[in-house]
Amino acid sequence: MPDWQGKSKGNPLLGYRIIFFVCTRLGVSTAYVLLRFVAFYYYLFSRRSSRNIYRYFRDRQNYGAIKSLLKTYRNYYVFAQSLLDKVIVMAGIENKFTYYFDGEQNLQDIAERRGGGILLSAHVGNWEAAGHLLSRLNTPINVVMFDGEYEGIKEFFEGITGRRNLNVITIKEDLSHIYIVGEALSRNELVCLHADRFMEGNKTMTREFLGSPAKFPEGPFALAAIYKVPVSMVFAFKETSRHYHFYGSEAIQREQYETKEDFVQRLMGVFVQHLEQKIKMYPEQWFNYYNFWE
Amino acid sequence: MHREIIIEKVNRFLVAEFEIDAGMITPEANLGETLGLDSLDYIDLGVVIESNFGFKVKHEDFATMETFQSLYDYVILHVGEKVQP
Repeated sequence: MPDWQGKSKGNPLLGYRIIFFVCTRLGVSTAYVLLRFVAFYYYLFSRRSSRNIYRYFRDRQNYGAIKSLLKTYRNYYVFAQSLLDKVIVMAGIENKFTYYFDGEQNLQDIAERRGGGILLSAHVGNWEAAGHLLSRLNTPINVVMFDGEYEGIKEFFEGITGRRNLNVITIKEDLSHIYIVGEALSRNELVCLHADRFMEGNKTMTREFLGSPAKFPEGPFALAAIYKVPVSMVFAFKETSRHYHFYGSEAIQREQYETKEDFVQRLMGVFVQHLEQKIKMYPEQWFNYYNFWE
Repeated sequence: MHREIIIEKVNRFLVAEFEIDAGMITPEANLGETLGLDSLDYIDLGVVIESNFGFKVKHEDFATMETFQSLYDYVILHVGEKVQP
């Protein structure tokens, strides 16, 4: 079992407040410099996470030992930058970020159908930083997050920006969030789900991913099969310190003749293929700090 | 819609959707155990009922449906309500 417990380390609210303070008082460039030290601290003292990321570079990306060590530090730094960028964008702090939106029409097509849809993503890159572009779709969007990831974020962002047109659905142990997701889809809204992590007890399916078997949660794919809504794979990656590349794949939908199980298999296959392709393009932006292949 | 027609329709979509032998369905059999339902399957069942009978099932209502008979009764009750003027 992967040891992801649905909780992020430390105090996220304090972290977001510090980032907000530094960005607004000292500027984004200064904040990036400070992040180098923060990243180095985690590199040295988060041994378990560092070991898992190091193994990812060594075993899954086939890098040498020295390169893997350097990339592990680099991974922390890019992750810290991504968190900072997320705060800057979502809090509306003035910035010079530029975006390339690859496949926007695919998402527009889903939104214009007004029949609901699922956007599948993963803990890679930083789709939240480019996520405000989704507001151009002019349709309600629900983001499904683990309780631990969400803790503090809502309070922080609502405190500085007021309520946004982005609804967060938190994942509950009693699985009651599944009904909330279902209700959102019934209202023809878009639901964004991360389809790479799962909690103990969840149904999973195993797929070959970066050369080794890995488990993926069945839930997000089963929901798409049950509601027969179009599904797009969405990812956003940082390409330079100020530029993001957003990807939205062509929509996939369960065919009339297709059984639920067949569609779940097909969709998971396509998702894993997209994820693998993207993480080979942006290997530093893999942000699952546990043994994903355990 | 007649009671027998509703029961037949329910049984038909249960067999098709949950891929079980029709012989396993008896009024007194346990719904969850017979179909092997988990949370996602209950969502699925709700969607199938809605598409076949045109009314939404509240997820908390599934707690009252222990047997196939209670499922039939629930659907019959709501189909009856739907056709009321």
